[in-house]
Amino acid sequence: MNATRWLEVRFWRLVFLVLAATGTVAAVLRFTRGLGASTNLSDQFPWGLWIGFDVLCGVGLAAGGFTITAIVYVFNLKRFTPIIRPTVLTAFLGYVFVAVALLFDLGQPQRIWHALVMWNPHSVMFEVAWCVMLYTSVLALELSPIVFERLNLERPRRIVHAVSVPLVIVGVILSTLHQSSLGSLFLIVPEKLHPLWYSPLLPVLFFVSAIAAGLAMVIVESYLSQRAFNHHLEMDLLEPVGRAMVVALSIYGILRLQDLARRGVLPTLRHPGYEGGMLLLEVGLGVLLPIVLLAIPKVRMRQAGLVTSAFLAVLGFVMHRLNVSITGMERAAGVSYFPSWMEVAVSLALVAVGFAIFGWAVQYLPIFHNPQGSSPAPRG
Amino acid sequence: MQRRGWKREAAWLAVAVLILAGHAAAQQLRLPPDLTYSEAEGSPGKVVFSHQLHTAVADKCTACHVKLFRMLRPARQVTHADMEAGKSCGACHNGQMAFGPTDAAGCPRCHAGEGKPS
Amino acid sequence: MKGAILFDGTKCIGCEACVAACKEQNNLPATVDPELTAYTWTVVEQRDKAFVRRMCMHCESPTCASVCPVGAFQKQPDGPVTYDASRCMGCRYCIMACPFGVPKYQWDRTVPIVQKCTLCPDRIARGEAPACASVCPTGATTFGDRDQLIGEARRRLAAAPKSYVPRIYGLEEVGGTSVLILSGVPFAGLGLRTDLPLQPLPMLTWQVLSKIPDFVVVGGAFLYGIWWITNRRTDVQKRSTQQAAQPK
Repeated sequence: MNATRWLEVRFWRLVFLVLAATGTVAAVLRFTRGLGASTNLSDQFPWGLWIGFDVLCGVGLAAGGFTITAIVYVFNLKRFTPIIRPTVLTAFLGYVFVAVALLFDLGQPQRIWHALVMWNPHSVMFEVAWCVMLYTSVLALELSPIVFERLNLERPRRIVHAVSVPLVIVGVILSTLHQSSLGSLFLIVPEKLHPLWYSPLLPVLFFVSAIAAGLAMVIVESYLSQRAFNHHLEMDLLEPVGRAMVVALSIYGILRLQDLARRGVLPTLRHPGYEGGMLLLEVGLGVLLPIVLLAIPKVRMRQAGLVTSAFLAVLGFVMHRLNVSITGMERAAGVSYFPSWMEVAVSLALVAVGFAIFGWAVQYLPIFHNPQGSSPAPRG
Repeated sequence: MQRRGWKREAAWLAVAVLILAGHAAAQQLRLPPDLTYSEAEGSPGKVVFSHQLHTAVADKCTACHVKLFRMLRPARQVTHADMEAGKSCGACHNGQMAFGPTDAAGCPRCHAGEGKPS
Repeated sequence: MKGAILFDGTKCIGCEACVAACKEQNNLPATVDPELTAYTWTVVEQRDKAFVRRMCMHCESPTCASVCPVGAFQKQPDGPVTYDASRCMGCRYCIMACPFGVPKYQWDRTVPIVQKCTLCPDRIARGEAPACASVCPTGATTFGDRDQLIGEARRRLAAAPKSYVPRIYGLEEVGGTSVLILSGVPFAGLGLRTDLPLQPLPMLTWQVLSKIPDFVVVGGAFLYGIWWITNRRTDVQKRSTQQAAQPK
């Protein structure tokens, strides 16, 4: 291991320790002193970073799970099989991250199970809760063959493998429902959410952006795996993912533009204020720039171009969700919100732990090997 | 809060009159009736509390309710010990904001007896 | 009887008797917060020379009841929108969604619940008016059947048209509320939202949610169809390669 590599490993280990330590302190404060003392939330601003980032972004960035499994199992594009295992693992860890973040955000987290027995089918949040719970189970099932393989439990592995296709279809349905419903949550506040983000199309926009973000995360995850474990995906698999990203981002961009134009808010961007500026940043950096970059074959064919575009798309995605849940709600709330250090510490610590678990899983489970019984991925 | 000057209560009354004058029908302020407190041993006379007198010097009901006095189920007894501790009447009737129990005017100022507002 | 409250802003003198009575009735701390909080369930605000009461509007089609994932809020047939604290897990969607900014949270507690005006269901059950209505010295706050109060409000508007803005706030806003407000000054000047739709807000999400069963069926069939088509193609390819490999 050369000196730079040694330093890099040491550096990230230190980052992990610092984040885990501050996160633990913040967690103790959250549960001993209550939400008021540990967050900058208030009656005027009841939802902050833990909803805007941990829940809204966490669920969206895990969308690669249903996209890639659909591509391989439903659309039968078998050459993308090597992408499935790391993507499904990322997705599963993403949903676990969301669940743990919710335990911090809920005022009475010990009652998180209430939605299982106390039903309100008129509530979007009820539907999100159920779909997320069911889908996390689907992801766990989709991951189980990897564990069975490791433990040499052939029979269970074969049983799960036999129901792959129906399982994936159920997963796509559940994902479409809850990815879009995260947007539907905000349909009920037309008088509060800023017109640059409020739209009857919110469910569609959230769903399409989730597809684009999921695909971007496939590329990002491949890049990070290469840095951390010296394993990477071949460009001939990632480049088509990049192309699919252009399509998804373009559809999203067109829908967004159409929606803004039809609702008559485009002229307000001529003299953008705070909100206008945030929107231009979000769409410019996170939608337009990646589309332009990825549309150029020279950029798309090179890893640097592909990875940069993917990071930009992820950034734009996160910005959109934070703009909807925070920026867009500030004016009507009459207060400006910025997370407390404890909110940031908890979120970062959870992300760090997620990364750590991913690394641990790669070490002990056949994440980067093709599933048994599947044909080797054809080259070229 | 109580004020010693008359300007504030006059202005308050003027505003109330203006608002009330907008109505075709005459409107009466339905204040709670006078409250008679029960006499303890050695009391020189019944204490009758008049809302009419006191609303002239307190701008809102929340000046006294509910931090000093209950409203829906009023207590019927106040002792001098309570007052000296700054509770109930004693929050204002302490010799500074309003006359106190040891005032020169003596006991009859409060203990005026039946039918007479104090 | 569908219990409702009529608040006539032209009669309010800002005395806060309602605030005090509410505090006592619900065993709340005596301190009066300037805005609604988990511990102050009604406030009287002064805007210029006019006073307005803020409290739960007890909507006919409450947004809070629609968004709560565990159904903690219910609109009762006799008027109040009640909150069942034993269900609440503290997601705070109600606080985020209420168009009138009514539900408030106990941010200072480690086991917090949402709090808001209850319209005194115990008192109503005993045939009494809510605490606020029972102590109002001017009759600005009165309690009664919603339809009868609407009739009374219309009578007042007709009898003294110069004293009032010709509108009953809460008659139709977001599908109507059980707290009706009359005012001598424009409602927007009192801090009451005048940009609310007439349609109840829950319709906005129900439009999406009601389509879910159809989507599940159609989507499932669609995805299965794609799999069938693409799988057949691979099957056909496999079979043709097998046939080509067979010795003739």
